[in-house]
Amino acid sequence: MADNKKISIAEVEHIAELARIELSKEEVEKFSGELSDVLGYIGQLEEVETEGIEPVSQVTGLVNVLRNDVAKSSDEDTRRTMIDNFPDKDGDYIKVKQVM
Amino acid sequence: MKLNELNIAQASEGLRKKEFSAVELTKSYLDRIKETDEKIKSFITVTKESALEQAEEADKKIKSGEENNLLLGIPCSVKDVINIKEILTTAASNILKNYIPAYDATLVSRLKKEGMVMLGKVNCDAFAHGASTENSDFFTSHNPWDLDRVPGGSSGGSASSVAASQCLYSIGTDTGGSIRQPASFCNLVGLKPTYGRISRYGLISMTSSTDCPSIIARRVEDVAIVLEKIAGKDERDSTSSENKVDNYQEFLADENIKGMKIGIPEEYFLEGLNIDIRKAVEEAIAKFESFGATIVPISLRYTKYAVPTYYIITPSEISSNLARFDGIRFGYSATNDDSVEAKDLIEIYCKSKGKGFGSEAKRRIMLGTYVLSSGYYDAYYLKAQKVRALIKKDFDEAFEKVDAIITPTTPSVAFKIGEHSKSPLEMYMEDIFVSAVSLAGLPSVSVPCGFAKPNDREIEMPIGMQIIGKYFDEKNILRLASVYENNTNWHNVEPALK
Repeated sequence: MADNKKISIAEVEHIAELARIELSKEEVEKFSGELSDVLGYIGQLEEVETEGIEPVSQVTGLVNVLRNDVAKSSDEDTRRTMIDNFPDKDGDYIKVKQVM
Repeated sequence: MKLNELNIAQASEGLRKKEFSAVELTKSYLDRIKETDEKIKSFITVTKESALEQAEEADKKIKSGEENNLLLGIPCSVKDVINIKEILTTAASNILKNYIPAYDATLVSRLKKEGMVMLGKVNCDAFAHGASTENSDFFTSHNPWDLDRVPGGSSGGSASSVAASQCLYSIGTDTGGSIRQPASFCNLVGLKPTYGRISRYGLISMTSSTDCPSIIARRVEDVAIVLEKIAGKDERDSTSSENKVDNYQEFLADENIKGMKIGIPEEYFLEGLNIDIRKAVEEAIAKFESFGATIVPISLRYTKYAVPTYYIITPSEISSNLARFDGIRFGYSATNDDSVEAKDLIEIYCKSKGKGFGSEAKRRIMLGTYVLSSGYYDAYYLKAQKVRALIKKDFDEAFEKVDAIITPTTPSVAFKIGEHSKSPLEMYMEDIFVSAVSLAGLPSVSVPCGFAKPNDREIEMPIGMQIIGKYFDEKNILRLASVYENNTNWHNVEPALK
């Protein structure tokens, strides 16, 4: 994506929707400018020749680290702390708003 | 006891020889925090009660003589992105302002086993996104060397707490320079170990492929002692390494570095580097030569692409990692905010994030979502992972010829609060000498190597030099750092703050 790529207001709104994040009108305008600047800057990677280069996935050379899938239960203290963190609950269950 | 003159080994000896008790030591640090933290602002939470309990526990063990480890009863601080059971852990963010973890990070449980005394949780940029602590949703920490300047970041509270003698060491994190740059700004030793050397379990994740728990202290030996206790394989982090954990302290005793080859990459000494910093690092290199090391000019030709690569990969991983803060299981939620109306689940997500996250977190989530979105993935993320492969190859090839690489840690000394806050890009450029190492996953330590006067000020500010090592070769970079420390006096210079 070439330098000076401009991110329009509509694009910012679309990305915000994808990210499930509500932005104010001012934020949308601010990010349109700032994200354009940053994209212009990171766009310089275009000039690097990467033909035939394998992308990095793990730097220290680990491959397929496996372990047995064993469920461990936690103590009552741990359980209670987790439940106490729920923003909204019904007994020990998380309560959420309607989905649709 | 003079807190500013203590290191871990001395404090531990003082405890064992009954010159002071762990409770007395802890109270001295708590007093120091009380006296100084209004100005420095290192701490988000001071855990006075549990610290004193831990100190009492340590005193019992010392008295019975059953335990003989160096961290027993030694006071530290912990960056607020690391989970500690039943202790407020905020990531310096509003969205986690009231979050109480139900478990300990692995490194914390290891330190607890050693008998640590944890004085409190320290400030950072929210979710560790930043280089100054100015992105903290709560407040900015101050550099003990000049209160008008930043301590660096994101582990700024870790650095300011150690530099102001509010604790003996601090655990921070380094994802793209976040322990090395603050160490350099505050005249401290900051070690980012190899990726996977210390378990990430219990860190509030930022960039999972470069996040490293890291250590900051006043002396190389202090860092070595802590590293040995918290490093090593952890079943709960599949990326943690099986590689043997060395007895680092023992390695420090060997001061013979004759024949070691040190690479100096030309790309780190170009224009834009402060002239005093260049001079200080060149003098340090000459010192290594006088100790018998061979200096080898090298080239790391993809250096200039490290920051743009980092700012594609990092926001990408952040946009995924921060998706969990959705107002359902923990943290701020629009559900119980009377000022917010939300009719369904999706509105809860959007409004909880919209209200809970600060500017920089939002900026990075947006950037990451954009570069990963349909149509752009190849151009940005995939391209960045390929350039990252080239950056790693640069280092791999260099390390066929040399044992370590030395560069300045930062191109300039600590900047003024507010100086870079207008432009996010300017702040990102702070990572210029530190992000390549993070992308490659190599170990690196920043050590004090001099002072420079900023143009506009009479107060001299610290300079740091970065020593980069081969994968899992922390022992040799710590050894080089220690040889340098033993033959210089920079680390003994104290900030004027009384």
